[in-house]
Amino acid sequence: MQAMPTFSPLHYGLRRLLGALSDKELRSASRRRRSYALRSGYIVLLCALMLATWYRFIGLQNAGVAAFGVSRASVVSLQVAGQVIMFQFVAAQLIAALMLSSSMGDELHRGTLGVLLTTPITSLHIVLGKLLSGLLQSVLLLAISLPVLAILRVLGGLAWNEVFATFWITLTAALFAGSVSLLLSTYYRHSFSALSAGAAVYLALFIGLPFAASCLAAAGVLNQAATSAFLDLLNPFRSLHAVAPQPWRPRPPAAGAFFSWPVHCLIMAGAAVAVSGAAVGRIRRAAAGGWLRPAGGFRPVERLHGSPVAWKEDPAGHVWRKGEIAIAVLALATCVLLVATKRFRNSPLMVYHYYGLGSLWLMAYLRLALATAGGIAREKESGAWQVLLTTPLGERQILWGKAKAAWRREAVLLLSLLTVEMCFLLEATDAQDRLMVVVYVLFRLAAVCLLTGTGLYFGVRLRTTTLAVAATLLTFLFVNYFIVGQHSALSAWIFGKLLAGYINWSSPTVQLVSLVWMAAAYLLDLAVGLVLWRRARRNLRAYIF
Amino acid sequence: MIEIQKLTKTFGSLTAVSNLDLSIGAGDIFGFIGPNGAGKTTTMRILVTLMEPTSGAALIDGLDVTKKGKDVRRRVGYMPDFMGVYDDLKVFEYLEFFAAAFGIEFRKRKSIVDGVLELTDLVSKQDALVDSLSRGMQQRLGLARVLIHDPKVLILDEPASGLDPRARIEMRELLRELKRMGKTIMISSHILSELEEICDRIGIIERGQLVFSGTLEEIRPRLGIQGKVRVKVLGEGLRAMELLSVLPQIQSVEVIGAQAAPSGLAGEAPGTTLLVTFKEGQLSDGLIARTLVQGGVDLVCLQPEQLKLDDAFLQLTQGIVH
Repeated sequence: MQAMPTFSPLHYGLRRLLGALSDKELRSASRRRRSYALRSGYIVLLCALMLATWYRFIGLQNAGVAAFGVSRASVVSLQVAGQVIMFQFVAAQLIAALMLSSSMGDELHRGTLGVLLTTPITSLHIVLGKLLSGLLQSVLLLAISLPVLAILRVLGGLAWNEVFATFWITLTAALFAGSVSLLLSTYYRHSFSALSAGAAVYLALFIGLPFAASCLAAAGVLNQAATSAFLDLLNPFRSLHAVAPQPWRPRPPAAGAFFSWPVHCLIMAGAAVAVSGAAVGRIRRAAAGGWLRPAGGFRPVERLHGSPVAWKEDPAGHVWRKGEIAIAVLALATCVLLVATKRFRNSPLMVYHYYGLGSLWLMAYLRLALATAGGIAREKESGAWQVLLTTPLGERQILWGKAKAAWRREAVLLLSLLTVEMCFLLEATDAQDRLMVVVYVLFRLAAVCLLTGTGLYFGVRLRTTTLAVAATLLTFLFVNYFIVGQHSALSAWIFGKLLAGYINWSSPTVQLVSLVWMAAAYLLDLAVGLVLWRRARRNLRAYIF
Repeated sequence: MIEIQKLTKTFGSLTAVSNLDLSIGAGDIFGFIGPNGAGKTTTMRILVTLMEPTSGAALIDGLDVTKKGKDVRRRVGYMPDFMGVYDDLKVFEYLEFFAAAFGIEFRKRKSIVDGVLELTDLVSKQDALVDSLSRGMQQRLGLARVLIHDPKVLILDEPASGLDPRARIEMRELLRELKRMGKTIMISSHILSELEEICDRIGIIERGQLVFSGTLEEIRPRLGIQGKVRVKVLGEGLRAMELLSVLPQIQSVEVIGAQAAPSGLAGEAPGTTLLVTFKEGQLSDGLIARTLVQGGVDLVCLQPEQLKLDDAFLQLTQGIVH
């Protein structure tokens, strides 16, 4: 006789709520190669980050004395914990957004969205299934970091409640980022557009609005304490700062007396539910073709001049779009504000400038990765790549065209950011440190080159846009920040060796060595980018299908 | 124009194409048929330089596809089974892009694009976004793209798939027109009746090996349908069988269909259909007609057994895939 299955009301209720699609999504998500690649990449980055922090605070200064390392264990533990927490906070949101940015576009492209909607599966099931599978990756990555934080807790300097609070703040932030990305994927067919729109929403919500509110509070229009408390509750970045250990600088205004991280998490979860609800309402319209179309449908036919590959990426590219004009105007206004008023120097509001610039650079890098890696992988997905390769266009022409198109597309954003950053650095640094500004320009140029080479390589090497972009970003972060970058473990180690015995860190010799090393590191960045570019050229016809 | 010699392509332990030998003359329309997974697309991809063969050689217009890839690409127009389009380009822009990719000068491009638009009847759609076109229109656009650089050889992988009957007829006419223009066309299709009407020669491939290659006439002996005639007579057909089976030229006579009673409706007369098989080289329609009429049998019609490509396909292949 067959055993009767045990009836569990909770299990039954969950299955009814989530539906068959969640089952399928969870099963297939765990089987995808990209999931394994993502986890491996995350672990490598995490290890490199910990190593870099360790070297920066122990390896660089211990001068061979073991007791020094032991005595500073709790300080370093706090530093590493801070880095890990910040890293997982950014990575979890980025991955959730990336995973879900193409969820509806992919379904439509494969022709499965219409089929799903003809079954009893509801739009709610589709949204929940997609959201869960996308978030699963973020949750798994958070779970990877938990043992690390637990070990750091043993070393001292980190409290359990900090680990717990940062975990929940990160999780709800990832949930919100994922649901925003999912909603936007019902509006935009391409992950590129959905991610860009998502980044803009994020900037507006978490940088723009708080900045505006803080300005109003500073001007006396709003109550300072109430505004601060309100912002702490609504902004995950501020909430994380309020509860996490603080190894980074500068610190934002201290959390208000009304701050409570569980309330913040509830607000974020509630916001995610509301956004997901909006996505549920959009599914059927998206399936019926209700996407936001680019303005291309209404523009006249453009004639082709110059490189065909570069032209194809953006036929109306020579006409500046409204968004680009807005970015340029905003950048110019910020420069004028920074240089003319000098009011923000040493002001607590300056933190938004750090965040704003940091987030905008991240967004610019993401867009560049999407344009280079995604530009090729998208063609593979659509089947157009093989058609392009049956033309007499050479490997060099194709890759150069793709890179040129990506740079042209992002030029306004990149140049605006660079200009603002230069103004900011000139304002914030003393006269003797002005040479750093040149090094910084080199840093950004090297980063763009590295990202372009990496993007082209993974675009050629991998089959799907999401995988190619994720691999590009992970490699970029790894190379740029952990191997040859300014704050890398390698840099710290070399500094430690070169400058062992120097007491005065502001001496001209140390400054010179530091500058030369940084310049060399960025040149190495540049070289890695060029090597990967060359590899992409060699492999262009090897991974077509 | 196309020469394939001992071509082999393996993917790990899987052999997609095995020792394939094939020759297609200039100006021919060659139909390439076979079950799914037989190796048709792999062969075509090798010919258009998208894949390198594991061994063997493939030449187009005398050029080795592995060594002279760029020159081969200039001579070949390839339309894949699944044609990706650039969704943010308009039809004119899409074609101009490929014209530029094939190195056509700017001042000549417009007239060339206009020409292929006219040939493929897409003039009215030149301002439409490519992804807004219907499947049939996109297939036509694919054909227009293939023609943009005036290639000598066209390699078309399932060009009629997903097209409605009218579009299929138009596609067929277009291919005939291209043949008149002197193009060599290699075409694969699952709609075998399409190939039957336009192909000079066919090749049947299964499990990476060529099962048959030749004209439709050459396939008859392979299928055992040469020297067969269908005969329809009124009545039960016993008398006709008696008269025909004693003839020394005839090998066998068998009943393959009978209509026992009149239906009362206007249509075919009641009668029996016989399949008469002649001995090799003895085929004579006149002999049957004369014998039956002189024997007092009411002869309704007489028709040599037709070659059906579907039947040939089923008979020559076993439907085994890798």
